[in-house]
Amino acid sequence: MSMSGVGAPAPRSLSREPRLLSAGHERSDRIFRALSTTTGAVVLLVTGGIGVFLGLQSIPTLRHYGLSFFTTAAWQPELDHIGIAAVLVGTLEVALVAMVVSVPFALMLALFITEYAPKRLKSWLVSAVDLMAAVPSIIYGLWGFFLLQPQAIKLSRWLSQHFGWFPLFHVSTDPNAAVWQQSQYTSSAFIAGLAVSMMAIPLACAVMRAVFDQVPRGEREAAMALGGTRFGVARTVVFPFARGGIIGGSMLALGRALGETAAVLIIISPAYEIKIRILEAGTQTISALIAANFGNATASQLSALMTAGFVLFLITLVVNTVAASIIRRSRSGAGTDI
Amino acid sequence: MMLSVLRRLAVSTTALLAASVLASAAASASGSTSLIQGSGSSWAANAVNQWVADVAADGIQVVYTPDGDAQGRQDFATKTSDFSVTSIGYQGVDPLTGVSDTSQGRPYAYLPIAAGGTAFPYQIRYDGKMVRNLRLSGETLAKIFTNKITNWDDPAITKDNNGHALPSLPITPVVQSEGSGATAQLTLYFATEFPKIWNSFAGAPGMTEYFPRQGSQIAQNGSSGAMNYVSSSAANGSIGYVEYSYALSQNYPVAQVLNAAGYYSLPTQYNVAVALEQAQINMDKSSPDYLLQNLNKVYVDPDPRAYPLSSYVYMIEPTGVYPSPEPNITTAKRQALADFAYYAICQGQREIGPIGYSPLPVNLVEAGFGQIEKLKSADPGVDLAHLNIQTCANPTFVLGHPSANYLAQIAPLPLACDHVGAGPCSSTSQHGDGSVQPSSSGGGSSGTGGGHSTHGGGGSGGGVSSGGTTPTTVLSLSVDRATGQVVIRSSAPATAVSPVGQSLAEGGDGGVASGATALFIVVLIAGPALLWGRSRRRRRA
Repeated sequence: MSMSGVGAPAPRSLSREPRLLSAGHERSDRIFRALSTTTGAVVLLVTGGIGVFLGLQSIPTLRHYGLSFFTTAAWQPELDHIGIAAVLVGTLEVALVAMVVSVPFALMLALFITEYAPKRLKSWLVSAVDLMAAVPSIIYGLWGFFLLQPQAIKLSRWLSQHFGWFPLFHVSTDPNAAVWQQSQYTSSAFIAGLAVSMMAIPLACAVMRAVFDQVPRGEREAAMALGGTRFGVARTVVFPFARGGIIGGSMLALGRALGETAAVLIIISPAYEIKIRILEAGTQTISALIAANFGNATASQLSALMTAGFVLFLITLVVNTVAASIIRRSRSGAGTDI
Repeated sequence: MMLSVLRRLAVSTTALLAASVLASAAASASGSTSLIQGSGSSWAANAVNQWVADVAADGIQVVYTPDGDAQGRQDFATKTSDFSVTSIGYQGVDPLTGVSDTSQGRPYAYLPIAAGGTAFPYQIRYDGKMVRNLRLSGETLAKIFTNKITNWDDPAITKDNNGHALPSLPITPVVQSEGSGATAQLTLYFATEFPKIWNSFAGAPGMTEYFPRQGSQIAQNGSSGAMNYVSSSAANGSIGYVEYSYALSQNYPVAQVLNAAGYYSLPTQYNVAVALEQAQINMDKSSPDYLLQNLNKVYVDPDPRAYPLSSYVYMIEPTGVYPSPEPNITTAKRQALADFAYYAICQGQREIGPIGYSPLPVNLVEAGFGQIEKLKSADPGVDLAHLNIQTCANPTFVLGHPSANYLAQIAPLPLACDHVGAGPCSSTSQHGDGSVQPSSSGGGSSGTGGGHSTHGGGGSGGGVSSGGTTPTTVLSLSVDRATGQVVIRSSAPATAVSPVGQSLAEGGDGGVASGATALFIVVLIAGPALLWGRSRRRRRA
């Protein structure tokens, strides 16, 4: 900036009016702004549209069945006997198993990648986890059915042998029989949950890793300088700082687990009963119910499926909203001031 | 309805994809046919897919989706498909529940395309051995699938196997979860023959396409799903029901089912052909159910060779006029339908016997020609001149005897050890491979007769070579004495279609395959990371 105005003579016809400033943006700016605004609006419109569409479609069902739609376990459209109590329970069970497996796994994985892994291994692991996220869910379904299930039933049997007194792990067959009934341990919520957890792990791990990386270097080094071990640093600095990210990542994974369809459809054997025995064959989830039945549904059955979908939509919406708000709040490192 | 629009969009996208894949085949075609899409029975899917592969060489493009009979009929009714394959006809409106199963006004005709047997694959392993010669009566089967018999050591099963007890092992019936033709054929058999057992279980009399799963029964989606489950390593003690071809393609044993003559028979193409000679076909041309089957006499066929659960499967073809009520069925599509149907009921019949179905008899092929001609009466532009019954290469034809079924004539008689109170036959190498010795409770005398290897020669009907009436329409046809399968040597090369899941279930050379897969995945993971690391090192240097 040259100071030309200070000593130089003023131009002759100096207008007293202030110079006009164009408040508007360049044309390219305007186009870009319009484009990005539209994109944002479309996202909101699509999400809202799905909710409104499902909500409208579910009106006839809710009017016809009333509250019994949420308390009936059976799904017998031929007999006009329909409810989502059983599928809701099944959905939550599959998601629960997936969470129990994937959250600790993802946490340890993220911790190893950020804190312990040597540099070269770290890049390998990161790309392996990314690959895990890229594998289509139908592949996990085939893997779960052909490879995982024959092995996992042994774990199921062991659980029911030792913890069968606990209703969750009870199986209505004799686990100690000389020739045990393997098929009663297949196609269960437990095995479906194991397959789904494989899909939830990369999602949760990615969020946790990002948050662990944001832990301030200074605090970490300070803890080290005080003679902390690596695990001590993780426990006292990394975890408290990243608490929000851990919870948020888990919730995102939960959202994924609730809606998983293809893999569940392949593994489970559809059963419409409220069943807390997660190791036993037969369960059903909302998304698998819709995928299996929407093809040959009549108009009224379709409405019932839409209602089930609406319920799932609301659940995932709540889960994801809570997750997003937790993640947002955690960015400031609010959890560190203990 | 918005969804049907969506579905149509999806279907047309699939069609586009398929069209681009088949573009090379289309180039060689005359251009008078265009892509047709069908959906329906998974029971018949192995046969239909075989034909689809065959006609692709002639430039006829067909896409077939085996999503179940009920779904297939619904797709046809909503005009999302050009044809459908189903075991049973439209059922009309249910007076009780008001559920409607109609073509929704779309004009149609039934065209029989194949016969087959609903088979019962099972897995019973003990001491590392696999039972391959199980015999079951219809009543035992009905009790198994209604949870009345729950263990393989049940006295009823021991009795069926002539006193040879199976190990104590819980039975897991595997049923199909979608509305399927196999379920329809099974429940029709139970409801007709054992109404007391079936009706009290199902809660309603009569057949159903949707199996009312209860108790420890496992439900799987489609024939492939059920077959894959039964053959999976975690399914010891399970028994399912699928078309014979699914078991055959996985080299899996199926139960021999007791017929009215007191013999336990297998659903081979001969036994099915024999049994279906008793099928009562609706020959009233004015009936909407023209050509549909009544199987009541098949179930009790007194022929010692008959397989009780035999049935025909049908194609539903559109007979309406273009453009209304058929806005999508152009002349080119109708031509493709006619050519495909002609191939299916003539030359195509030679392909399906060896893979587990049974060819149509000549009277149904003749009636089928009548149904194909309905395509021309709907659209005069369809050219049927090249479709000639004289050149129809169906293996069941007997020259000069239009009502005879050649396969039923040459069908071998069962062995004495397949009879009630005898046997069981020492080895039921059903598919011709090495098998395990039968379970012999006393450890003493096992089967009385010889193995199945003598099956072909044992019958008084004689093999093909001995028959003096070898028809000229059948090109060199012979019976493989080891497997009981017909071997056809024909000049026309056939593309073999292997059903899904075949190799997955077999352990065999899995080591090499899984090793290669593991290597591939390692390269996939390590490759990018290595490259990235190297590039970084280079940058630093």
